[in-house]
Amino acid sequence: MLGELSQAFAFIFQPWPFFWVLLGTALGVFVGAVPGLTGGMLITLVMPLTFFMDSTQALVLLVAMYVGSVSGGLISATLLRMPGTPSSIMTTFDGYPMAQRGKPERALALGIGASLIGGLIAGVFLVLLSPPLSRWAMTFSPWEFFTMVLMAIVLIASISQGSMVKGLIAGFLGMAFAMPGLNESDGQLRLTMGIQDLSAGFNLLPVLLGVFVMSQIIKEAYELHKTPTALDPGRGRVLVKLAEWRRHSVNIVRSGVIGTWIGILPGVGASISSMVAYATAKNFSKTPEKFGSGHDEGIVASEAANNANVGGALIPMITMGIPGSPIDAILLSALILHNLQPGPLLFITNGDFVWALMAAYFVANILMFIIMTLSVRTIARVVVINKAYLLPVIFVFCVVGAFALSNRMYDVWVMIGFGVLGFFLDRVKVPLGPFVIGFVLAEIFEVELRSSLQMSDNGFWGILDRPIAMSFLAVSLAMLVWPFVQQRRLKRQRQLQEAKG
Amino acid sequence: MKSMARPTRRGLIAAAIGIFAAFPMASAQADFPDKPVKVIVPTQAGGGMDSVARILQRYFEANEAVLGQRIVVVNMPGAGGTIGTRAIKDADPDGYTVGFWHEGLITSRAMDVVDYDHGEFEVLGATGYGDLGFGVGTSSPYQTFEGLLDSARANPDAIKVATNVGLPVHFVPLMVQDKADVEFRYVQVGGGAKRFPSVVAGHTDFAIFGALEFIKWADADLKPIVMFSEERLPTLPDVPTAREMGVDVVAKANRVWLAPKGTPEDVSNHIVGALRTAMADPEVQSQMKELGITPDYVEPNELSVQLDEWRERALPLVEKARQLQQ
Repeated sequence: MLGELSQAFAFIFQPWPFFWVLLGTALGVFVGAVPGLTGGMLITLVMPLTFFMDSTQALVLLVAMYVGSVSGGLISATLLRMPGTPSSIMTTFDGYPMAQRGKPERALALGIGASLIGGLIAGVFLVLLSPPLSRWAMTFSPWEFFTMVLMAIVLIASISQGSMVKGLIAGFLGMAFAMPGLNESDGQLRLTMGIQDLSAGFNLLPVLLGVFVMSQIIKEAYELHKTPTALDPGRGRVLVKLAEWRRHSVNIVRSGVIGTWIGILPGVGASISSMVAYATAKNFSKTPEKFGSGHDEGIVASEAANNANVGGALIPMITMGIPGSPIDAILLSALILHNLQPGPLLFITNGDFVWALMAAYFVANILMFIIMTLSVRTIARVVVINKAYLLPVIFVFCVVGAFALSNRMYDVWVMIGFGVLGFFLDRVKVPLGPFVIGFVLAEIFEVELRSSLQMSDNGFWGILDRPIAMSFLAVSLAMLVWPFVQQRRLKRQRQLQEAKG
Repeated sequence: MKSMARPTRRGLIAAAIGIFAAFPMASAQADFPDKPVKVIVPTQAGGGMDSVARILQRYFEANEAVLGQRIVVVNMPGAGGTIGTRAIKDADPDGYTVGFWHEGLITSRAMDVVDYDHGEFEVLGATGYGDLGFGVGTSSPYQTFEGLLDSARANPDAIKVATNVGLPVHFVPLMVQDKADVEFRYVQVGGGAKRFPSVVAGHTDFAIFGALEFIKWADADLKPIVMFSEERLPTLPDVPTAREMGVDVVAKANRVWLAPKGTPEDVSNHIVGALRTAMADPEVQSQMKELGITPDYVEPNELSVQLDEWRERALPLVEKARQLQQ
């Protein structure tokens, strides 16, 4: 393992791969810092441009963007009180008040440092867990994959942002849009309504471009008159003493592990990680009342967790081909576009590639720290950029990217259509993450279930032969029932209290 | 099934002469090609099919006199190749848009995904073909083709074949089933990269693979037990052919070049000539071999006969193929 990892590092430090990691991280940090531009947007936009790159270098670039963008968000969260990316929402609660009190350098330094350490913690898990997990997943039959996807779908429903019902609506809408087209399982056309263009269904890339990028373009254009004012990032050094980090070590490790774990859970993104880590830090804190008023611990918990989420979410993506977060759904489609078959076999067929990805993840985290520490003031000046200049360029990239996939105007219309749909979903506060995950998982879900049934002599009862699949099924059921059980228990407690009172 | 009379080669030449005699220099077609020729590939960039196009693209660029122009490769993946083949069929029949695909052209028609097959195109010959065979995991109980068939005969509908429904990889086992009087159980798994782990891990018992896949994955526990070529392959000398074993199934994946129906004869002849010359080039041949392709150019009339045969063998199997609807 160490041999492979050191080889991968040797690869990353060659001029071109290193250039891509550096470029990806820097672009990611910048895009993450600008409110309204997200990492998902950047990665989806750049993906078509990587068609003609070597597959390893392409994915290394995209992973670096992923790391950079999750980190960049903290700059605008701290100075603008606007999360640059959704994953730094929790950072606004303590970062901005601290900056307002005249300590912007300290707030930024805490966030940047926590991002680095959180990212590295997850990196260790990534390297240690991925090889055994992929070996284990090799023994998975379609039953296991089917029940695992089922688990992911239940999970989206139960810990979706905000309203569970809206999360469910988004997930099911995504699944519905995955239905039309040539059905892999029986080789027949489905729901194409005689429209020949629809026989390949809605392609993933145009859908992603629409939902993540086009919808945001419409939204930003709609709100163009709002120009945020940023706080001054100060003149002091953006570094925190090592001794202080020792004081935060428990919080940072805890948040890093929480972030990694939530990252591994399929379908849950970095924003949930930072929320859970923030809430946990508050519960364990000796001074919970200080949270929300510019407290160190809040910034550290939020930023360590959202970066750790990136590394954690890569684990199911590279070992099983199941996206750990919405951005991993995009990376998954990048793998497919580069003719790499995601799944447990990736380690065997493309081992060098997987290790290079992990090495790139580490290097991107370190470069992120250096870039952000050195140039946070410059970035702070550009985050208030007038987007009237930016949006038309992004739109052009969207159109070119959608068209390049299969040289059809149809895909461009799909992209625009899903952009409009995404815009309206966003306006009624239906989250777009579960929509994309639902869209991606629907196909895997159906194919694996139907393969299982085709293999099985006993129809659905065939699952009884598969203990791992059965346990996944049990976990799914438990997660589905748990909220209701809890509700009833709370109700009974209340009744008891009322009876006492 | 309406049968369409295939023009013979002599007929084609006669027709070409006829056109020339009637309209000497009647159109710009005599100058064909005076701009690059678009080649539609119905897969994504980077796959095995796409590589064939790229090899020829490089060749035509280095040897400009052969075609007289460059070719431009346009990838149009989707819906089992039918997005691409439809674009070829509906293009202007002026020779500036051609493309290529494989026997999936016929199976897609058989499965009713599209309403056309090779009969609705001008067939421009094949730039080589890939050989297909059955593969098992090295720890599978079925280490020979005979053993596999015996077990299948003893236990109908029990031996699981990993397949990709509605494509040639689905129809070849159906053909074997028909000839050897056995019955397999079909499991939708997907492309070769997915069938491989499924077979090696033992979730399914066997699957169809290309010759190159057998060579590439030999170290990863994939073992060929039979090939559907006319003769044993030089690259896999120990693997018997189905014919040797008494099962008369020959199945290849031809790289079938297609032009829209109505493309003028002299234009398609020009392209046919260019492809034939390209395939005789030693450099092209060695690059094709690396892709596991037997680099023989298959002449249009010979190919049409092969494709007609494929159609005749595939159509009776459609009912069985569509049963997989669970």
